[in-house]
Amino acid sequence: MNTIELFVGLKIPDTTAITTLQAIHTLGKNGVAKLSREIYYKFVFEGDVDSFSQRISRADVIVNANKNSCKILKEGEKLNAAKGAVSILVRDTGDKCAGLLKTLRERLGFKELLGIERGVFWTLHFGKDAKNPEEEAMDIADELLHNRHFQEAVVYRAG
Amino acid sequence: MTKQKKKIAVIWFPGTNCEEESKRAIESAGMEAEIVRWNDAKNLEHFDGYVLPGGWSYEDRIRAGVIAAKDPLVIEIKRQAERGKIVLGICNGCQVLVEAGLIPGNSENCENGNGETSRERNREAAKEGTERKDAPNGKITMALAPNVNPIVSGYFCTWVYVKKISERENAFSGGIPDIMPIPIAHGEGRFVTKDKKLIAELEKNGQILFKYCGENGNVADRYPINPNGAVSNIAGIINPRGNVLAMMPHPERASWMHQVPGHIREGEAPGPGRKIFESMRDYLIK
Repeated sequence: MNTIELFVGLKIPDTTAITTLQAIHTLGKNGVAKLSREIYYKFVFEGDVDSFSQRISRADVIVNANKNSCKILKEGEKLNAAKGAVSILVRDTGDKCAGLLKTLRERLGFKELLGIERGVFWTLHFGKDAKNPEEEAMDIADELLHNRHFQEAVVYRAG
Repeated sequence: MTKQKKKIAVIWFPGTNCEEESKRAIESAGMEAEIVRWNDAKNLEHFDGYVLPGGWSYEDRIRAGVIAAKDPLVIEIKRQAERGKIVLGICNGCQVLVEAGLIPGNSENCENGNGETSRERNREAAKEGTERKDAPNGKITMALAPNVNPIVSGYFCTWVYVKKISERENAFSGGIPDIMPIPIAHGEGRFVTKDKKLIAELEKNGQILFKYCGENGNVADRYPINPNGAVSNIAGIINPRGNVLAMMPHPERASWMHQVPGHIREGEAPGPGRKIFESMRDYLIK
């Protein structure tokens, strides 16, 4: 059984990230200079990692090459984090991705797929004056990026 | 001498799309209504009440209602609600009120999954010099989570029945029928909470105003009676004071009988949803 993580971003301007950054500043959290957002997937599957990675990154229900870019992390690989950046992964606690799993397995031929996790991957870039970026990022996650009554937010540790 | 009509502000955020029918429904109940833009919210205090209509404020970015909930205009509405003004949030407006902490608005003693109450958590946070999101200036004790529905995932639009559960005095349920047909149209309408005792507290306080029910009034936690999987079949909640209501169904789309399935021939006769607006009017006059 293997896993990979897939991060799907936008090549075009991300209006959700822009609005969210404005909302963060409205809350008085001016230490965040830049914000980016990606859709996060974790795939659990059987079979060859390279072949699966190549095929899944071409599945248009996940990645639309006209507007999306994507990066893949295989087991043991770590994200490269920019200095002063904190990444927060927000997931709906009850989201089993049943619809997406069915589509990929039954319509797009990913018979080897066993499970999917999905979330929103926020990266908050703090200015150099930030005293404790990770704590500030979690405050923002608590106040804005997730609602603890149906979601969870965790700091994603980069390499 | 004629009495001056009560005046309601219909709040329009970018992405709100039910402002016109909400305005018409308010006017049909004998009140004045004015659509107020989120960025032109001067003189809000001159209104007698506020309606936050349905739609997708800020395109539901991050999650439904949360960006509008942090808007300075909503902070002002919160202030006005504390002064006793009435506030009705419909669908997306309901999501905004929950994300703003106006609904249910009584979390001080609610317990979380770890056995701590909000008050205890806030006290601990104060000792540590940190501010919790459930601190008094921003208690979020519930959420409107994505629907759980065996037929369709995501957005779901249908007619349902709701039952008036509470006899608690409030601004919204005077004279309304015990059971009424009403439409819903949402993807994130499932009331949920992690605070273990909150639902029992709301039941005890009479703050659960509407529950989804069958045509004959049976409140059963199964589809299609409960169309979105809301905890305890909750369709609408009032605050402890009874001057703020957040409801997922759309009363403005049931304000004329010709809107109600099977009653098209009854034309312009008042529909069941109008009673909510008439109740608001009567409460304000009283």
